[in-house]
Amino acid sequence: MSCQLLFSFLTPQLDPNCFVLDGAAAIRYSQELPMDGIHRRFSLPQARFQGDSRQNGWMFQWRADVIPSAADGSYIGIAGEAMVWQLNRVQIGWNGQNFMVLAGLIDDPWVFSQNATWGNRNLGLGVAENNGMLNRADTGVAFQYQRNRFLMQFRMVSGEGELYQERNTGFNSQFFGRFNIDDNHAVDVMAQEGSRGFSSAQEHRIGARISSSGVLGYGLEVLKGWGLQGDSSLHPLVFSSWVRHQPAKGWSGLLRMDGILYEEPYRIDGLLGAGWSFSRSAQLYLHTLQSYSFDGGYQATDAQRWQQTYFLQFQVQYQRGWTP
Amino acid sequence: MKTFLLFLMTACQIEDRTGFLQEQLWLDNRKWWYRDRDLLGGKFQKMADDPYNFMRGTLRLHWMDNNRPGREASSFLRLSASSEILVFADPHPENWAVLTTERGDRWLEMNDLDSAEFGAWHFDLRRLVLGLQTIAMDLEGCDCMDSIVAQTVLGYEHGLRNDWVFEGNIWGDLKAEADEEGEERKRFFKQTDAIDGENRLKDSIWPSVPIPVSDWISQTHFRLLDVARVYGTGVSSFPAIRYLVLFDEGSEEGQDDRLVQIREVGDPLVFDRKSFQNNVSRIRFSQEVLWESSANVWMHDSFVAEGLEWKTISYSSWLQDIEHGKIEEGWVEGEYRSDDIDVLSYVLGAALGARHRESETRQGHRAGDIILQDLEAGGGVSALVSEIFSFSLRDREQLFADYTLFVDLIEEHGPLMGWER
Repeated sequence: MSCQLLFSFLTPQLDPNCFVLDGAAAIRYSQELPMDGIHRRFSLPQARFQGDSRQNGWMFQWRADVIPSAADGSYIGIAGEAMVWQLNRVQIGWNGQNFMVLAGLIDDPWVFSQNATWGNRNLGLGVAENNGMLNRADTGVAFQYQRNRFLMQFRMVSGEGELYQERNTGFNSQFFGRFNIDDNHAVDVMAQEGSRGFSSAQEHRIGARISSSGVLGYGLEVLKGWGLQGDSSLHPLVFSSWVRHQPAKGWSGLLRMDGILYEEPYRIDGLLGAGWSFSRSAQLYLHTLQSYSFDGGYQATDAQRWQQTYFLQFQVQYQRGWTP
Repeated sequence: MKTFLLFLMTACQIEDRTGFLQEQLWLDNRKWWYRDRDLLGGKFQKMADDPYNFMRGTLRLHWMDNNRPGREASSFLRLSASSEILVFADPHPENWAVLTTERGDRWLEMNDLDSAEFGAWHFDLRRLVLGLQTIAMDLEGCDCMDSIVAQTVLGYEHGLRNDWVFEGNIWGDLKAEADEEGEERKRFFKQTDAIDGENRLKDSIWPSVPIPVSDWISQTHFRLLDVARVYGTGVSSFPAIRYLVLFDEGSEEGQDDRLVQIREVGDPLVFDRKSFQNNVSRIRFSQEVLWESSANVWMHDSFVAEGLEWKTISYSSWLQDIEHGKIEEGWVEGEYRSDDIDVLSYVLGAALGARHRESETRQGHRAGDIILQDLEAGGGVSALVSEIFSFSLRDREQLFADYTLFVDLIEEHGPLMGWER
């Protein structure tokens, strides 16, 4: 029996015993308008290495991504601003008949499921993660129950995300539910009660999404937040909608629109692009990201409100699985 | 019921603001937190001493607050290049100093370029006004909030046109102090003792010589005589590593002995688009563009050592900083009046305008012309006065509200606001 592609905990696993390694890298050439700051034409939007090992009901998953050691705006990194590996998943799991227990640096199921259905994280993060509303992973435990078309996960995590240690005594509790309408269509809901930072600022969320992962993939999600990145007074509402299609073998196109609102509209992002796969492991994409800020801060000039990026991206990925 | 609901709403707003305040302070001070919590506690204690020190330690908070969703936008900054100008980012009054030389030259200079980056000219002006008004808040009977705005903006415009005069009682006193103390080498003798005919630093760590000190000396023709570790100076950079270095040019007489401070440099706190190779090149470029004079009284340099970035700071008595405490003393003793605060505002506004005039945009264009065009496009000087007046009112109220919250946190949870728990 061949080893199925894994890295998920939201779908039934066909291969109970399996070991998979996966790597991917993408290089992007971009043109930004207006050209602010030092113009970085070349960038590395993705370089990842991950593993998934399953045996006799036990599961161990890890993932590392390459990031620059200095943040945007900082000149201080490791030996300059060297690229370093960042661990953003180290989860141990145990599968029963219908349930699973996960512990460690565990994935956020809302972010994870968005990545899975959107399918183009290397072209753009999900709206929740992109706007700092949810982290990709966090330290804690999760209990998952799955029966027929229903899946529910309840997790308790530190609330500071994969990049920070706990800053307060409160946990973030999150419920995630999925109903699979059929093999391709699903409805997801989530609710989170949480706190962030030394002052235990509120970090509450509710969200809903409908998505399709078929040949004509689409998604529509809405997420409301109370508190953002330690600022309790912000109550953002974000939405994201996308369509992706593969009209012919090897070709793909996508269109996505995201919005973030506070009391008033704040920013709208649009992504439009096409891709061509010249093998199972290599693709070339041509995309544009158009971003309009209704409120860019008091110093935003009119010209800076509308940010345009045009980019050409080449990416490769490779997976290898072994069945004991 | 209505009162109860009002109480609940106010309590929620205070809680919201406390969270925002703590988060910004955390992001600003994370480096110090991991390195030396006692020094960070010292910084917070100093910030709690008075609103001016709090303002000095919360540049990032001021910036982030103005860029939160829903904040009022400026009617200026209409030209793209107007937000791409090399600016100081933190030109509050205590960052300005009067310099004099034995030859009788005298000029005003910004003595701290730690936050200099390409950004909006408008924020510099706003920050300067906030600093002046924070000083004025402590001057009993000084009804000068409006005139500070008017005089600073007027001075700024005159500075942009290079049409201003450097005068006033406060400046006169600083110049006299610089002349007197420069001649007497007051700072030098305050920090040194003569032992067996040789000058030595009072808090010497000799024979230990930290690598940044030996690296700097090796790049110069100077001879190293002594080193001391310095604690307790500055506000924002209070926990930074600092050394006081005694050096000479080789004479055995001690006449050429001099002092310089070597201090670690951090990232700029606002305007987060990187524009330079590193902080060393950022500081060097800013010195070249934003300083009026490169006279050696500054003894300025910047370099990399031990994986950190460092700068040298002049420790000469020919340089005298503005100190808000001294202005308050002068006010209480009746030496200064509202007119003096107006002149101080005018001159600092003009000095800022004059430095902006000579500054550059990221594309290398002369900044003065662009700011003047932008000023015109936004409605002219009177529109700028009324906008800065409106912004400064909110900035000032927010600063004092945040200061009260901060002091409450320190008093309730200790110098680290309970973060250690």
